[in-house]
Amino acid sequence: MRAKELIDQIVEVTSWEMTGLASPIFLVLLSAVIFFFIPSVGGIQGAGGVQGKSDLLAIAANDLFSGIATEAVTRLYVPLVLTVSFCLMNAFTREFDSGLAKFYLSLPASRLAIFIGKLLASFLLIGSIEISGSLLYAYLLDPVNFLSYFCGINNVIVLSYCLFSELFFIFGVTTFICLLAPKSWVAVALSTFSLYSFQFANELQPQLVWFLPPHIFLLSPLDPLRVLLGVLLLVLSAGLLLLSAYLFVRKVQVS
Amino acid sequence: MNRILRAAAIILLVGVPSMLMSTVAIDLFGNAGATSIVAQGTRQREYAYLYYLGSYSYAINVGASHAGTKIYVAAVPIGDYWRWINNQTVPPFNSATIDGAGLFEFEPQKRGYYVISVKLQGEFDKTDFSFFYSFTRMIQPELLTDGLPLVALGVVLLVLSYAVPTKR
Repeated sequence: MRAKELIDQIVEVTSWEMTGLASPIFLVLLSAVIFFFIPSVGGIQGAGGVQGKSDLLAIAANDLFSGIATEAVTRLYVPLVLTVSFCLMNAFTREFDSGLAKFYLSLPASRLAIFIGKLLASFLLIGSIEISGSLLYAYLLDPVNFLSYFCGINNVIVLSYCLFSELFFIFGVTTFICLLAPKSWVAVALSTFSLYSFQFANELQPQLVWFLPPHIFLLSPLDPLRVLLGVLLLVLSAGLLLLSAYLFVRKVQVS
Repeated sequence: MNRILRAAAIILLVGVPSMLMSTVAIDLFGNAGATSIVAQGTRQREYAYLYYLGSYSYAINVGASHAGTKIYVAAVPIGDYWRWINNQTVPPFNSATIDGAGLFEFEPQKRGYYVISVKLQGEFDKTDFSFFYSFTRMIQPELLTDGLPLVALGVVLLVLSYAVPTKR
């Protein structure tokens, strides 16, 4: 019964938050930023040496799809960092700043439901723009063979996993920073800087590129170390989200 | 329902032009004259590379300094690649056999993903092979024509979002 109540409250808060987040002006801003950045990094290319015919098929399939997954995950990293930090700052820090949180917390819903509802609404909104962005970009790149990239359940699972883990990591770090930051601008600046620092590191040490976000979220069955690091980052993100939930439910004082 | 339609319409109407503007900006200011070495000192006999190419002339520089090495190069659209590997009945978009070293020039008819297949034939020194590519421009005007139907779809969704009656 208690779980059902909590779920009902989460659904209520999520739809409430979605109404505010999915306003036309916010959607225009989000789409403009995310879609503008998608084509702005690098270009697709994969390469592989092969010996036999079956290997050639495998490597071509692997290259093609890893190329598309690489494109989606790496191109979306910077716009996602910007939009997620703005979105979560709006959902948490700004409400504490403006005093709106006091009224929000007086709603007949538990703090946990409010926290999950807010996160879920932002996750759903940005996740759907992220997916539509990758699909539209793949379509614009190659309208003729667009569908063939996404046929095959394996490909869809791999791409979904890559996009999901990237978004999950960004959400974990940003939520934690947004809850601790004293001011809205500090929250945006800190979360953007901390997540963008991986891009700096990639620029400075290109050989590390496959061991840092966003490339670490690309599945690589041939490299167990990278898989392990990717899983560790996901565990870290889950830990940060749990810690943020604890802070929001138990520690946050609203005056 | 109309809220979802309106959101999808906004994503298309704002997102697609935004993406196209970004592409045009990149074409104008970036990437011109890029050259890349993609393989050197290989130990393999066959290679497959995947590139995204526009409909412009490309020249791929292939070379093996060992005498008597022939290099077969083909650029195959990704849609035809599977059939081409299996039975070779679909002719490659363009191909050439290069003796030792030379330039493989081709012009894709349509932008998209291409597999550049490279096979070394005959005797060759495993450390001698090298493979370069270079291009001078990437502007793709077809992007605009392919983006227009998406914008039109956005307009249709926006109209529908107002046509669908709201629940009162």
